[in-house]
Amino acid sequence: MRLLITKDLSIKFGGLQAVNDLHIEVNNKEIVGLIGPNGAGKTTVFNLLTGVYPPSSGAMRLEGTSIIGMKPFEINRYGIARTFQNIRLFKNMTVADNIKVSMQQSMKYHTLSAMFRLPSYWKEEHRVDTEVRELLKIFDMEDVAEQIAANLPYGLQRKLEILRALACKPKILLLDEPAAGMNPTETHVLMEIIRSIRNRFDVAILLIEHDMSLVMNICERVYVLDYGNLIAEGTPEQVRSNQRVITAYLGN
Amino acid sequence: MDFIKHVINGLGLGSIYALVALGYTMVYGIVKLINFAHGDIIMVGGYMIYVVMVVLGLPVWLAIPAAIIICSLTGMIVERVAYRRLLVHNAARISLLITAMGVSIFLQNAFMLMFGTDPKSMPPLFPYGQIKLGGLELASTTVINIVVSLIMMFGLHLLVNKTKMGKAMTATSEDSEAAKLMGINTNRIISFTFALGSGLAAVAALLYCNTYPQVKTTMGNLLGLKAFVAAVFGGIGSVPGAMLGGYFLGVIESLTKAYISTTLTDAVVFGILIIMLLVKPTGLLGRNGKEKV
Repeated sequence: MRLLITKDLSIKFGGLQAVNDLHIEVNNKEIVGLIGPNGAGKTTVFNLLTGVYPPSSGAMRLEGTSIIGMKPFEINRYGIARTFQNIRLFKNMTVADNIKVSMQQSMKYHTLSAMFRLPSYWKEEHRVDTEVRELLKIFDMEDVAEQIAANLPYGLQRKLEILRALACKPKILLLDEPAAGMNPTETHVLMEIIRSIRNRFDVAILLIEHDMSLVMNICERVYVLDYGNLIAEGTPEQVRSNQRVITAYLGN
Repeated sequence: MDFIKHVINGLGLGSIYALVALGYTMVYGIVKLINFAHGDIIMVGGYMIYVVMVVLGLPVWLAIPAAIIICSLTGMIVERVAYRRLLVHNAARISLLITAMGVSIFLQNAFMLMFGTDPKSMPPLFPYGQIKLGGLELASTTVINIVVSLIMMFGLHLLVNKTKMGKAMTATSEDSEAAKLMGINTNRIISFTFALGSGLAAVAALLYCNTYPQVKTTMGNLLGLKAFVAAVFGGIGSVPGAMLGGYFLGVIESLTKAYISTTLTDAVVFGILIIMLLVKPTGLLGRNGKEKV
C-alpha cells in the first residue's frame, strides 16, 4: 500500500530550481534510497517532506492526506520523523531525556497535574521511563542512558539520533546520511540496525546516502536526483546500470 | 553576629532578585531575548495584590493566586502580541530588544492611567514579628522571603528536570528547529515559558510588597534592572545561575549598606557587574559560548 506520495513537487530558491517536479512513492514497510551527487537537492526533499520549507508547487500526501501547509511539529505528529545530516541532538541533555523529548505528545498529563504530582503524572512518567529503557535495550545502549549526549562517541550519537526519531512513533522514518563518517564495520552494523528497525517497528524508511554499499544492500528501490530532477528510479541493480546515473556521477 | 545577620537580610532581599532573575534567564535561554518588560510584570503583580487586598478588601491568600494568574496571562499576552511575529520571522535581536522596551513603557503608562502616579501603600501581608534564632534576631519578612523563594525554586527545579514541559523547554532552548521536527510545538513552549517566568515575577511582587509595603508604576525599573544584573552575574540562560546571582546580589547590597555606605549601594552593585564581566564574561555558571569552527 502506498504510504507517502509526492506529485510534481517543486521548490525554487530565488532563481534556483532546487527540486523540480519530483514524483516519488514509498510503500508501507519499504526501504527506499534517495541518492544523487552533492547539491542534487536530496536534503531539500527531506526539508519539504518535514515542512521545514513550503513547496513552491506540487502535492505531498501521507496515507492519502495532504501534508502541505502543516507545520513541522504537526507533520511529525502525523507520522514523519527524521534524522539530520549533521548530528543535531540536544547535546546537553542525557541520552534518556533526548528520547523522552520525542515522546512528548504521547504523554497525556496536564501542566497542573505535573505541578501537584497527581497520579496521572506518575503513571505517564513511569510508562515512558519503561519505554525508553526498552528502546535503549534494543539498541544496546542501556548503559549510557544517563550520559550527556555530547559525551557519546560519534557512532552512538548517530544511533541515538535514529532512536530519538523512532521514539516519535513515525509511519515513515527519514534518515539523512546515516552512515556519514562511519567506517565499513560500523556501516555494516548500521545496515543490520536499519533492517531490524523496519521489521520490528513496522515503519517505512526513506534514506539519503552516499555509501553505495549500504544503498545497494538494503534499499528495495532507489530514486536518483540530479540538479533537482529525478533522473532514474528502480531496483538498485537497474539504477546501477542506468547510463544517465553513471553520467551524473562521473560525467561524460 | 552582626555580619551573619546582614548576610541573612541580604538573602531575604536576594530572594526577590532571584525570582525575577529566573524570568529573565528562562526567556533568554529559550528565545535569546532580553525581556526588558519583565520588571513591569512585577509591577502588574504588585497592583493586583493591591486591588485584591485594598480595593476589594479580600484576604492575602486570595491575592496570591490572583496575582500569579494575572501576571502569567500578561506575560503570555505580551509574548503573543508583541514578540511572536518577530520571533517567527527571525527578526534581528535589536528589534526584539526595542519592542521589549516599548512594552515596558506601555505597561507603565497603562497602569499610570488606571491608578494614577502617586504610590499606593499596602497593608502588611503577613503578621509581622521578630524571630529569634540562636543569638540572631530576624524580621519575619526576611524569613518568609527566603522560605518562599526556596520553595519556588525547588518547584521550578522539579518542573524543568522531571516533567515533559521541562524537557520540551530544554530541547527548544538547545535547538528549536530540531525540537519542532521531533513534534514539539515550540510556540506553545515559548508561551509556557513566558507564563512561568511571569508567574514567578508575581511571587516576587508578593515578596516585594511584604518587604516594602508600597506599590508604584515605576517600581519595576530598578528592581528589574538589578534582577537582570543578577541573571547576567549568574550566567544568563542558566537557571541555577540566576538563583545564585540573585542571592549574591542581595548579600552584596546588604553588606554594602551595612559597612560601606547606603547611598553608594547601587554604584557598588553595578560596579561589581562590570568587574564580573571583565573577569568572566559568561557569568558564574554560564556556558562558554565558543563554537567549534
